[in-house]
Amino acid sequence: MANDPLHQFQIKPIIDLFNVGGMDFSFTNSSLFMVAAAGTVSAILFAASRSASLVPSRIQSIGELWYEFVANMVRQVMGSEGMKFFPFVFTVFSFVLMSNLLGMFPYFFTVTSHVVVTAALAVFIIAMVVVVGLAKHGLHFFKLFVPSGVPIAILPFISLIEVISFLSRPVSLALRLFGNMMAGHIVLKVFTGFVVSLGALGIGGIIGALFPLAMGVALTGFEFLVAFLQAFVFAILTCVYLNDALHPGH
Amino acid sequence: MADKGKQDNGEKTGAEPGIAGPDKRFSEISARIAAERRQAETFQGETGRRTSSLGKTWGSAFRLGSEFVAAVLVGGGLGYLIDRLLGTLPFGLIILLLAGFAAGILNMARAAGRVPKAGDRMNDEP
Repeated sequence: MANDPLHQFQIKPIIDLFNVGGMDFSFTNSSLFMVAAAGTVSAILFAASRSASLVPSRIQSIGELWYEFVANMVRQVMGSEGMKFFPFVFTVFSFVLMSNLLGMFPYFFTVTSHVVVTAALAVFIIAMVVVVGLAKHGLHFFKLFVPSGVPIAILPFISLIEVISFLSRPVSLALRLFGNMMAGHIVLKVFTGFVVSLGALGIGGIIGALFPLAMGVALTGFEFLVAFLQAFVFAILTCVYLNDALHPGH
Repeated sequence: MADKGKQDNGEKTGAEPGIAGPDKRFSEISARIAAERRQAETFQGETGRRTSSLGKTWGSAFRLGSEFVAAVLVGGGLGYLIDRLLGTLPFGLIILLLAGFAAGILNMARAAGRVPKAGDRMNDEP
């Protein structure tokens, strides 16, 4: 059981709440770490903005860099008009980033390694794109699926491809984050598991165990890169998709 | 990450003639900030330029693969759903799987910046 690489993804209820129509609404370890991620982000940003000074303290610098990073991303993709969506993008980015990073602690649960969580985020984002697009452009929004200047004979087929392409957005958004986080944690667990099994084999095994140990160290660093990168990709694609709804011009 | 190393080097060589007065250093740094801003504004493709080149490459590598797979999955799933509803089992699946393949190629070409985004054509014709 200790060596089972999938054991870390098990969901265990912490507080049993209630059952409604066969659905379990218990407070699980996943819920706990979602609360922890949101709480950590809030705590850091609260500490960063508590005593604002012209020469920023260390914690204030973190807050400012964080804000600037997301604000620049939103401005670059959507223009200054897109700053209306800055709070939303910032929330999504911070939640995903903090969930990924909290998952790097040993014995901590990685919220984003469950496809339910990432799919819920992705579907919410795409639903928002559709709602914003329809609210701003009305039925003109559906011109997204009807390219201009295409012969009428092949137009239905092109439209079908465009519709599938649009529908694949939430799927790719959800699967990418989920796949990267789960695969990374499994690989890490498998390699570090080798260290334990080889180390039990005596002196030769201990020397042999040095190789998976080195691999484990390297993979841990790589996982931190992936944790940040996936949060970044998730946030920038949120911007790109919202931009489609907001600025049909370009 | 490679960019950062390069920047550090640049800063070191810039700091070497440290005898220069503060005014000169100030105009130097303003010029460098302006150049950086200009570079940031010539923004191409969908992905941001603020990431280091390593981050950008990894980001687009992860993206291209999943864009393609997702479109094929959606195409196949949609085809199977239509077949289940209409009872035409192999045909919808085959046709929509192929359409999903085409959509996957389109997604990848779009993510790589080779094909204009779908939104670009909404203003082509009034």
